[in-house]
Amino acid sequence: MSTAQAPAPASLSSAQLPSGWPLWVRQVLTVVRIDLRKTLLGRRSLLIYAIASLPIVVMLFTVLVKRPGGEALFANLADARRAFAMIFQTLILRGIIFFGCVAFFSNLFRGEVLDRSLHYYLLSPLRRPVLVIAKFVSGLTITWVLFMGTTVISFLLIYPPFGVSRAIEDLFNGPGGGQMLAYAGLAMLACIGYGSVFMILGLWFKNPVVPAAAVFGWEALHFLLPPMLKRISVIHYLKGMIPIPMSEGPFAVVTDPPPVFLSIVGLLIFSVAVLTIAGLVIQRFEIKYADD
Amino acid sequence: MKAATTQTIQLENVSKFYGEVLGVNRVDLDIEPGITSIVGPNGSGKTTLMNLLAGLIRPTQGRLRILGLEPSQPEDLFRLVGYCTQFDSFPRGMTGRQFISSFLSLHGYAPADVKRMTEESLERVGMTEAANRRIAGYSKGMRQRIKLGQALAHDPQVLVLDEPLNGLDPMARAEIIGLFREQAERGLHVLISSHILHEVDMISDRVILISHGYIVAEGEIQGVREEVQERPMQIMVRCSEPRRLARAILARDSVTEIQLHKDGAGIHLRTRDSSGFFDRLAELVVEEGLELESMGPADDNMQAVYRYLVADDSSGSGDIEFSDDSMADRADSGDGGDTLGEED
Repeated sequence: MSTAQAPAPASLSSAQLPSGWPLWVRQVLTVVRIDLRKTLLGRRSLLIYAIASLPIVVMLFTVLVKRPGGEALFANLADARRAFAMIFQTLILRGIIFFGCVAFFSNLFRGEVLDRSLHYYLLSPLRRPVLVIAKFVSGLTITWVLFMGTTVISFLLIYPPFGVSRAIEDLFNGPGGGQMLAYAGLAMLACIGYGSVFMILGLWFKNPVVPAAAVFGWEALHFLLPPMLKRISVIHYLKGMIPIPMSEGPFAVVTDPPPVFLSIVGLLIFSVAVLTIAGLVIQRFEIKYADD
Repeated sequence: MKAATTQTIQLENVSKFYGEVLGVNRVDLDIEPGITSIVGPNGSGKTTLMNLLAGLIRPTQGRLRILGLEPSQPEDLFRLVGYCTQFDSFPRGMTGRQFISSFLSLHGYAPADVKRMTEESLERVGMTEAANRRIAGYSKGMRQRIKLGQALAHDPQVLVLDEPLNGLDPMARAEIIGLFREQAERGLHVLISSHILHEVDMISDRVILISHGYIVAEGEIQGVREEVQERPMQIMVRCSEPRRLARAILARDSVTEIQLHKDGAGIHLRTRDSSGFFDRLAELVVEEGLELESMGPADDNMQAVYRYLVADDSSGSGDIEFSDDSMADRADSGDGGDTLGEED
């Protein structure tokens, strides 16, 4: 210890510190940095990377596997794009992104409570609604990097059997480029929609797994829901933007999906509303770790 | 309550209930700069009081102001307040340096200032060498010091320290206490909670005694003593024949209680009229032909005052640490000695 010799801190006065937006931006960036370091650089991150790369492994499998005659698995690019559409809607969207958002967003606050570290933020000059936004941005940064990345890489893996020139042609002059951007956009919007839902579930519930399972059931049975109830689901707004929709089977209640513009605006408004509620919830949040 | 000023920490009729469980009840305090210690056994409401001040929990009723600011104003409040919590937990994976620098970044300091202030703070709590190690690998004392470093890093005007000396070795305690004194001399509020009473004796300008959620006394140590003057004073008398002395005293004096010391070489007694007792004791010793070895009040320090006030509530709880040997003896004596008489 060297307390006696250490100089008194020559700190800046409060007047010299930023306030308003410059302060909030700096605080959001700090929270994001802390969460990125914690989530993506720790030992636990290996499991996250393994799960996020599952679609890439599946697509690699489709590249490497040949038909008995030595031909590629997909006869043409259209077949390959249809196969990717199926993988995206089943494995990526309803599997990896959904459960990834459950894991990341529900733990943004619940994880801090379980680690007994939420007070670190609440004892700083950080407005609680700003903390909600910062945590949401953290979750989005992580999930976008992982899931948009895995979506784009998986999509690009449809091209190797057809060669570089076909790939460039399809991406820049054919439907490939547009579809790839659409899938990336869908992954981005799915993270926003599911992320906001699971973040507030993590604030409301000590164990968000049960309500997350209920949301999963609701989303999975979406195709059976009457038109009014379909609107209360994230997948309803995403479906209208999927480049190659899948058949939902003979029992599906078929409705026209909303226009793309309405889907995007609707999801964003929904997420802002949920974040506003989360901001109100965190205002009344008390640190009583023993109860949690 | 004193008139409101912006230089004090004020609590007006503050209560906190956890459901039906009382945290603190109807607390009125006006705390001025200097070192103020909140003393009470575990579960008495010390941490509740500190968490209320920091806004980590909200009062069920009442109002709190720290230098004129309410806990619901974190942007302004935490520029003035540094809080070293009792929670021995940290954001996962952080090093000591990151723990302080990230906290300063949340304050909005520019990167160059964050770097400078982090190093200054690490140096003040003697953690520079271990700063790049993960906190998860720190000893209890190191974790305590890095928390103190965080609380001090932004040079706050109010330091709220919940059991800050826990886990520190004697040398580190002495140095940290020196640090508190240095802060208090600079005109800061240093609010310390502790159940280690002899430490409070040493460092406090004033004390707040809390028991079962109620403030039972507050003020400067002498003032607190006067506040309980109507309570019987405890006196220790050492002599060759303590049982005979005890019988003689009981026969002639208005003591409220007498106990034999466990070593058999003295008595503890309580009286409401201490000066009169000392006068009469001299006469009694001469009359009885007793040999007196020593006599004197046994409650000149904070521990004794505290025991007067809350010992009945906390006896046997085992959560008050007596590290002064003589007081430990007295405590043992009080608990285990033979009670010869009670008039109260």
